[in-house]
Amino acid sequence: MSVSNTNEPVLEVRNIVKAFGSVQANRGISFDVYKGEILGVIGPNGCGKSTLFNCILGQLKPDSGTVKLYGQDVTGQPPPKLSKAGLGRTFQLLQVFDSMRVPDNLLTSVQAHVASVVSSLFRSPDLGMKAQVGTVIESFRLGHVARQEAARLSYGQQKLLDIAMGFMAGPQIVFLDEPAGGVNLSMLASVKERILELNQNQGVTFAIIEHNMEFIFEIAHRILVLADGQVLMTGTADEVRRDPRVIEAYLGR
Amino acid sequence: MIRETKLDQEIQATRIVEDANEKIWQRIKFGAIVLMVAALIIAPQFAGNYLIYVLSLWAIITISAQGLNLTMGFAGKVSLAQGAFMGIGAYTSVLLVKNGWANYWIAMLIAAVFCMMIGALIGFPALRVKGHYLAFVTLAFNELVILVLRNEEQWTGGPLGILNIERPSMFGYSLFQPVRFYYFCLLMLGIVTLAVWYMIHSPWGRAFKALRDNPNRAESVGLSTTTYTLLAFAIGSGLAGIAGAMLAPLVEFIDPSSFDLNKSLEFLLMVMVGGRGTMAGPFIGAFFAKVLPELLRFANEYYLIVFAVFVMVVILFFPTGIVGIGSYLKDRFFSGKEKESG
Amino acid sequence: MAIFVQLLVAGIATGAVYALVASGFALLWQTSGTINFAQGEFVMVSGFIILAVMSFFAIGVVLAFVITIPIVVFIFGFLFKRVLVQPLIKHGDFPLVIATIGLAILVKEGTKIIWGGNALSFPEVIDDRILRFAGVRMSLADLVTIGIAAVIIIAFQWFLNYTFLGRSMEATAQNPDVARILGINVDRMILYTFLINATLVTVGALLITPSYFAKFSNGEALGLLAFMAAIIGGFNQVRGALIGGFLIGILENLGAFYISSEYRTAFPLVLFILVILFKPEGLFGRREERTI
Repeated sequence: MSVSNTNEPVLEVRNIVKAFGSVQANRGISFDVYKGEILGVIGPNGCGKSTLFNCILGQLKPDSGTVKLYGQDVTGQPPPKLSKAGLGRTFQLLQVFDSMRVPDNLLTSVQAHVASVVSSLFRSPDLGMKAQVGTVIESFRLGHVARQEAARLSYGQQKLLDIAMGFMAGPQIVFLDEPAGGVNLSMLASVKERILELNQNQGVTFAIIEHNMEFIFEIAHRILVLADGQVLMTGTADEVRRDPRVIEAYLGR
Repeated sequence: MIRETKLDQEIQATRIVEDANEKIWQRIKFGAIVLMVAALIIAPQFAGNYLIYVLSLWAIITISAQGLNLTMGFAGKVSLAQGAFMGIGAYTSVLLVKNGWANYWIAMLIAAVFCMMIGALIGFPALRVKGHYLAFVTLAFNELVILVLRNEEQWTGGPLGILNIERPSMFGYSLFQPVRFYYFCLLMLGIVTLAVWYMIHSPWGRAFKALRDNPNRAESVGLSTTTYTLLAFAIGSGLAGIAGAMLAPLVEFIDPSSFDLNKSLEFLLMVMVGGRGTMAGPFIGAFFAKVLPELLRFANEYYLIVFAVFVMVVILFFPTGIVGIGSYLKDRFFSGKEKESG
Repeated sequence: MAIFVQLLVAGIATGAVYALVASGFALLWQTSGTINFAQGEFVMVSGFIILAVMSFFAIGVVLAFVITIPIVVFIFGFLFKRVLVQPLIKHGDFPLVIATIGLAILVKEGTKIIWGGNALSFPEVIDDRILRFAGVRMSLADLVTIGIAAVIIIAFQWFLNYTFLGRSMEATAQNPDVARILGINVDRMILYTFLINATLVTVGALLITPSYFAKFSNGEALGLLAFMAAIIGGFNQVRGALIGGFLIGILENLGAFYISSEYRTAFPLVLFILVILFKPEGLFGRREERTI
């Protein structure tokens, strides 16, 4: 995997601290995300990965620390604002809109970006995006279930839908939380294709939490290793694989 | 490669059948609506004044039920204050007209806007609390409103209410006669229904459903849950306000007990039993709550008991309400057809 | 000062009844997630059943009360649980709430049909005498009510803390899943909570009906107050509901006298709204996990 060759950080995370009662989930985490890269985020269970994403993306307010997006401080801003600033995400626990059909799920994911609240009442239901939605559905191989309510899709299909929803509004930076979890091999291949295509053809930056090492080592430019609420190291897949501290963090529990 | 093509063919075939079934179903629905509207319009030819009164009441209650359905069924926010909002709408419009401060139509508009504002205020607690808690806050609000209506006799006439409410005129055309007022109610119901239908099928409808299904995800894709929650409450209570402003001249008097917690619970039952989150639900629920009792007047004393048992039985077997029975039947009927041709 | 104490005592007495009814309500909610909108109606109809038993057997109120307990326990404890709650609980909270609302209507209308719409008088358990103590006038009935409630509360606390069955029930109420793992027969425990609730509502009926007479519409107000008491106090803990009940009784009485009699119910209502908005777990409850 070639390393991305631009050096501008699009996201600067400094000293994120977050505790839940006596549990210190994040203990001062700092890292950068560079434009156009795919950053893998790994670490043993409970080391604070999802909490970190939640702190960056507005679901949680960090106890202290800052997050800068394109140089602007966005710490603690609410999710809708961050979404409109170009950040997309998925959640570890699948989150789709159960009662709506697939195209509606996708349209919902983009409508806030193309119309204000008031004007969206007067736009046509498909927002003139029928073609785009169709393309996304096809590229995620959801064509044959497109008419069904999201609740009726299989887990893997919902997962693909979830990821598609994260991309729909054309975010510049996408945060994926365990996209490979519970997905079968062929769908995993689809997911990998989509990520690589968006990254290479459209320069979308990715930060991906993963437990599936094979998957993440294959596609990530850099890997950020967390352990015990702190950054253990960053490096390429090879560097991380060989680092004794990482091995110990995973095994020596 | 060959396998892929065959799969594609199968998918194509299924799609054609699904499309055909969908079209048939749409035609049935459309036909049923047309029939119903026609029946409602012709009704005065065959029905006496009393039945016309009942149908007018049904239309008004359906308007309010649609409001609650929007807040609860589509946006997923529980409200036990729909009765109170109807009361606010009714008393506001009546007081404005009786004191000569506005004509009926302006008064209705003011009442609706006033209800929307208060509704939005109630929306704020909804941002902080969910589910049961929201139900309780709205319940307490309803009780407080009734307390005020009962006690502030100078304004509201106290527990005895306000009598001798006149029916308005529309462009100089008096709506005093039952049949004329009935058509007015139908007209309003039609307008409200179209507006609600439009809203549900617009991006707002999706936003509300997103709010109901998964507020977290909705926020993460850019939808402001705050805005849409307040909107859902405002619109829901605005519709209740309109219904209240229409109820007053229909019954020609209002009192606090017409808008108490029992009424709010009735609306809750109507929406749940009719089928929440569907367009037809409020119509059906209002029918069972208001029309059926009158049609079964010989059993009037026992009607509430029958209604209560009916509610419990429906919920026991069809937790999604009567419309749920409809989709259950539809699935059985139409899936059967699909299997034959697939 | 004397008046204040008088109001306080009266408030504690009414509060005691609220407390009993509220703790039954809280017990059902905590253990099985049942929100019983018909709780007030259960109390109301128990009063009528006592009257019916009295006239059927031509006996006094206390004996009738004793006979009524198993009747109420069977119908509104066992049958309620088996026929209504059990089938619905798996569909989530909401259908059950709707069903209990339906049940409330059913009981209320049924009572109206069977016994008529008029209020019936209900005999005092104790002769209503006024006692004078240090310049304060108190009703003997109030004091007896407080006494009975205190006995029940103490007995109940002892049961929960010092008997095996009681501790199992407490465990089930705190966390049914863990209780199941520990080998407690959770379903049996839940049944017991329904039976206990039925007993509590009968006691409540005995204590409160003399003051308000037996009328089919009494259930609503009482149900609402008990419900608010449970939440204000903190229905996570049964003792929260107890405290909530007393608090509401006192608040109502003091408010009615010192501020406004017509708006007497407004005071608990306002407190209720404030608690829900700012401390939804109740004044004495444990904090529940609030989803983001």
